[in-house]
Amino acid sequence: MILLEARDLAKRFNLEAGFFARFGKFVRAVNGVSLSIGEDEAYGLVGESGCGKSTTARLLVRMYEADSGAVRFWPRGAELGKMADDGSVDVRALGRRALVAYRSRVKYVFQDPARSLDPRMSVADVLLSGYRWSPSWPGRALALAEAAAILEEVGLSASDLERRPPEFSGGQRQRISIARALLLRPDLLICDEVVSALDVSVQGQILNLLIETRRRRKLSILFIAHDLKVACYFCDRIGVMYKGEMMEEAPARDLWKAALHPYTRFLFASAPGMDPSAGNDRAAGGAVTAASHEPRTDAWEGCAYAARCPLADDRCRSQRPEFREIAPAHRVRCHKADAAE
Amino acid sequence: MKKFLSYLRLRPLGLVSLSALAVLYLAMGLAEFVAPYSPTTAFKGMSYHPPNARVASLRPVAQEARVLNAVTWRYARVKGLYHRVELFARGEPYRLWGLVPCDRHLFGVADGAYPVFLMGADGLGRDLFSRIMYGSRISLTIGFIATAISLLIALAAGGAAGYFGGRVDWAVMRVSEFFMLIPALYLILFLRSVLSGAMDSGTSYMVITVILSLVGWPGSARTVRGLVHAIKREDFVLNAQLESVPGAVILARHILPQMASLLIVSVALSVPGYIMSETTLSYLGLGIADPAVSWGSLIKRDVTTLVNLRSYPWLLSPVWFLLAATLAFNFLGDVLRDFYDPYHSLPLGKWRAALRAALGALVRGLRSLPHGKAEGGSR
Amino acid sequence: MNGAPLVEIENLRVDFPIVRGAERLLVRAVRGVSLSVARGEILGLVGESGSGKSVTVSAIPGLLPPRAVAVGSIRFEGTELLGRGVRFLRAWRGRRIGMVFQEPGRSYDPLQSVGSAFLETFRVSEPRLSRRDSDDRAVALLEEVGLSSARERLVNFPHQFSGGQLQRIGIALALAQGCDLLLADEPTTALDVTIQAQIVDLLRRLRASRGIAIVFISHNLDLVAGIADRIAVMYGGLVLEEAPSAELVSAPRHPYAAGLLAAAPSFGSHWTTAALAPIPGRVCDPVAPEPGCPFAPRCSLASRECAVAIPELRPVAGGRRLTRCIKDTEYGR
Repeated sequence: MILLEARDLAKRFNLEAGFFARFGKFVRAVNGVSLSIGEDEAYGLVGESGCGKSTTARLLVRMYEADSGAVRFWPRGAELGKMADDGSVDVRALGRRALVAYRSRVKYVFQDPARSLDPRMSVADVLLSGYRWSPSWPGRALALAEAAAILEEVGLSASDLERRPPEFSGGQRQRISIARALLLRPDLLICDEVVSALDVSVQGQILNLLIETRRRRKLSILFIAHDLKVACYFCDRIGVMYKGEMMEEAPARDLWKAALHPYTRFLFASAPGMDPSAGNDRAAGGAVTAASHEPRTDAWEGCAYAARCPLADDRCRSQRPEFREIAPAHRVRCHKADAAE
Repeated sequence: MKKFLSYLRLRPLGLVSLSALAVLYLAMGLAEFVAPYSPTTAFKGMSYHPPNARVASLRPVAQEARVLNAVTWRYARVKGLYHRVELFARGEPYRLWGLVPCDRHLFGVADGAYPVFLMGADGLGRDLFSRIMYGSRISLTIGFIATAISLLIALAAGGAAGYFGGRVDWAVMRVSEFFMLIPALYLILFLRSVLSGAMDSGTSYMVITVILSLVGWPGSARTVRGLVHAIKREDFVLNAQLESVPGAVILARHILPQMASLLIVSVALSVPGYIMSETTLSYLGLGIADPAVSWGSLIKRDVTTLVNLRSYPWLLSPVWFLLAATLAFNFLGDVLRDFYDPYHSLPLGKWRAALRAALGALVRGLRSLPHGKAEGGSR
Repeated sequence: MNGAPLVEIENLRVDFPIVRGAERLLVRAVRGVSLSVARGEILGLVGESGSGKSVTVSAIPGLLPPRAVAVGSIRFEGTELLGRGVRFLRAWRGRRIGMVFQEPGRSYDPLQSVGSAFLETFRVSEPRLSRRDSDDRAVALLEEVGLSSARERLVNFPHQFSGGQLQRIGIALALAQGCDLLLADEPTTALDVTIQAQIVDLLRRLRASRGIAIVFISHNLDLVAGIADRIAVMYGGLVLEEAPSAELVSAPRHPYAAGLLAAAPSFGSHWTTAALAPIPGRVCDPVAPEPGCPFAPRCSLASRECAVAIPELRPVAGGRRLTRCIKDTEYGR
């Protein structure tokens, strides 16, 4: 059962600000991304910095407004506004009140808990300040009880309600952040690099917590990560992004040896601890030039990876490949991968 | 508050500053009580009387002095002619804060026979200390009131500009620039010349305060705007927006408290600025006029010529008070700023470390002398 | 690699005071660390936050915070460096010992072009060097570290480079006056994984071509295992295990090292089939170190004797390994 679907999302940002902005250059942060997340599924979004994974996630909760494309959500049980025949609502068209309800079903957890928790508020206030404004607010006493229960669920204790975030360690702060997101019983949790800032010995604790929570609440998770090992371990499916486009999407478990797109194979080959016999090729990365780090601006015709790809030919440089299903549940955006099958 | 007080134990300079300010403001509040005389009480024939408080046989006394030369007003102290100074003495009757009739002062001469000039007398024989005490009422409060007004305007304008951005931002910034272009001095001159006949000291105090704050708000507004811009992008604000917290609540509960600490610090650091502005204005004759006193007007009246200063150095007393207040506010502001960083972890006092490093180097240098050759060669 | 060590750290202890909240505290960053690096060897230093790895390495060129108290001995080719003044250390800093840091963007003056940075560096040892010679040498260095179009890019400023390129420039600057020992403090942590791999390759190449020794600090054990000859695992200001990297990764002896390897997922494992075994508890706080073994509160094997005294660093099975654990356990991977 599908829960959330994004179709051809696009978002561009202005590189120049001020009076002359309309004549300026744009960067295509997200350039035609489509993905779908099912119920009780963990979908991983991986890629290097600047690939647009965070921006895509933020488009899904309308933290930024997309320039084009559609986001459809299948609410379970709740009424969120005008529903289409298939039971989905158009997220981009939601009115103010429906958007509030939507944002209680789809929650966003930030990377750095030191910055996403207001350091001057007590943990109780941190947990409840958003809940207070939702239509399902049960009054302060009941809400406090719920907050205490949630803290216990994430591995802290009810007595932590009076303390302040700076008194906790990084891992504990991340637990508070996750507890805050879980308080309203969402259907989908968007985790934006939630374990990247943690020590290795603590990362596993948070991952286990998320797995536990997922099992217990039948939660779906959109997991943004730059650490491939963590993503392949935690997720059911993974989407690999590069320069604002989805390059490959496949089941996570075997992606490390079954990758088809040259960029994916290059990513895996570069990862520390990768077994060289897995067949991933560092040479697939090609030469890293200055151009590889420039964001995509408007005038670009072919495959986004063509500048770096050693397999690229004229067709790759002039014609953008389609995102096609090559193997069951395995989609790739590459002319060469097409041909190989 | 308690946490701040315990933090002050680690910052002795801050503790001293806070105590000094507490004393100054307390004295200001009880000026009628603390000052032995009213600011207008003039003692005939005692112009430019030097300070005469002494300790004789373990008791505070006021020593008499006689005029030697009525042209240069030089005095000679009369040996042995003392009048006892006692605490809570009866003196001139007054009304505390204009309400409570009283006649006890903090200290005064027992029988009222001879005045005690803690800091000497000015040209008309008025006790300078009393005038300083009364003057502190204006100098110390004008800073706060002007800061408060300008801060309120700055918060409103800067907050709106920072949070809403776009055209609101543009409009507010242009208005603030207009105000920044107004030279305060000329504005006051202009107003003075227009209203000079009709202004009494109370009104002039108000006018000066309002002008100072109108001229001062753009600076704070720009700071506030920048801060709001920056804080607006922080993850916890984004999260609050995602949680559908109303914008006004976000501003009040999330953004402004982050700035509250910076604002407290900026208040602490800008009050001395306003005190100095009032002092300057009064010194130029554009501020407080007689019979009202402020430290600035005292300096203007009395510190007019170098000859004056050389002969009557106690006339500089208001300057020391001014200095103390300004420095205290500055140091306190520094300490407040360090205290309010929620994740801060300060390395220990730089001076102590520098001293230790210097001592360490000295010791090492001394230690290497008797050995002659450096150790390295022996390996 | 020949026998005599290039740099030898013996029983290093470093403390420095901080103020946290309203309290004055003493951070016991390093509590008795002994390490040695031979010429041309790559030593990996692995540890989590608060383990003392950065402070240990910063002590070598004397880059400790000014209020720090350092006790022990650090000998570079036999010369004692610990506690010496800046003027004495200048002969080593930059010339024999180079350092590269985590955030490449922060190590540069944003108003200084790359060419000027090189000129300034060269002029430390050769005050009369001409601009043209400096530029020639800079281009040679930049090409050696793999920066393309080096000659044209000498006039560029730091903000015109990417993170990976800045790190290459940092390495080139560290090598500029000749370098025998390169200290790399988390040089790739802030970089993308593909760039990370390239920087690691570069360091390996430099070791082969120039014979420099490298101390590579990271919190990522797998990354370090890919480049280091030997790895030392630090926790709580102490080295808990030291071994050749292949042996450490395949068969650790210390429960902490084993725990680190088990706590991170590896390729091929999935949550549906294998559970992660994270290390319970929090990373130790250097302000309040435990009386005995620093890892005891989190260790599944810990017994009462572990909390009594800090265990000695003892050689294990064959002599090339050292471990600081009284339980002699063999872990397989």
